[in-house]
Amino acid sequence: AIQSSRFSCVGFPLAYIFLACKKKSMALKLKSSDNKIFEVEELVAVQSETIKSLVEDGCANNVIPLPNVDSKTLELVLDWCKNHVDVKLDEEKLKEYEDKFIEVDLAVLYDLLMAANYLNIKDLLNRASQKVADMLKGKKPEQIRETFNIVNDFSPEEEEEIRKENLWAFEE
Amino acid sequence: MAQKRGRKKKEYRNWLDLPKDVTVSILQRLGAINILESAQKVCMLWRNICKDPSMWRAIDMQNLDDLHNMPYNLKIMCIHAIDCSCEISTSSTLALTNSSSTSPKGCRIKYALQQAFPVSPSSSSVVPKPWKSGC
Repeated sequence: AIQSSRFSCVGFPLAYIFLACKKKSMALKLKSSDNKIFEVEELVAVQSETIKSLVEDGCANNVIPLPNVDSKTLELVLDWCKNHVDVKLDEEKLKEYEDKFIEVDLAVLYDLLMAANYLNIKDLLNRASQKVADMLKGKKPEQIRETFNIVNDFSPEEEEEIRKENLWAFEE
Repeated sequence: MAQKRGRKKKEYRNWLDLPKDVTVSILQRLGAINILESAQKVCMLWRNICKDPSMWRAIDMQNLDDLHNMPYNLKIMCIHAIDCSCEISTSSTLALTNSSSTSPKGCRIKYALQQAFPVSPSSSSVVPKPWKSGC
């Protein structure tokens, strides 16, 4: 027992110092499309597979430009990343955070989807996709078009095809 | 396309401009009923995506338990959904839906229908994603 406690006494601070050094030396600078610079810990930033591969290729020493992400969206995305660094985080709390995070209006949701896709952040992309899917569920085509501002571009022939298709669903 | 862009100028976010993978990932999360009844009737782009057999690797017949008020026939819908998945070659469909891929197609359809429509008609539970286990 004595041995093990001594172990933890030595091991713990060492690991802590190591981690602290590592974190300090690894800050990345990200530049949004509107030229705002975000200084982020590498651990946070590499949640993005896109940034991760830049780091691995040694291309992350200077400012990393992200021309497809504006500062407002990047701020949100980085907040998501910060909250997903520690995978051991309480699952319930994380879900609570995610649910709250994704309660945004459609425009923001669109920006998040685009950013998550570009930065390749799988869990964010999944969560945002799920949110959109939930919004689509139970809506009629016209309602979907209206909500998502989509133009009905079917030709009369295609409309007819769809109308015919309707029939099979009602057959007994 | 140019015309469409012009109309949307004040709002630069056009949901049809989402990368195809993203749209697929969104629509894949809808159940069969929502895809067949709504999503595929929204616009050409979505329609084409919904027709893609890859959308139908798993058929989710989940609904809001409103079986009695439903204007459409779930069995026919389920068969239609299975048809959609079978447009690709039979072997790959089986590989996608059944890892052992030894069971004949008919067996799988029967299994799906059994899962989707339990014997007792009063039971309102419709099993979502009945595809995990084999026939």
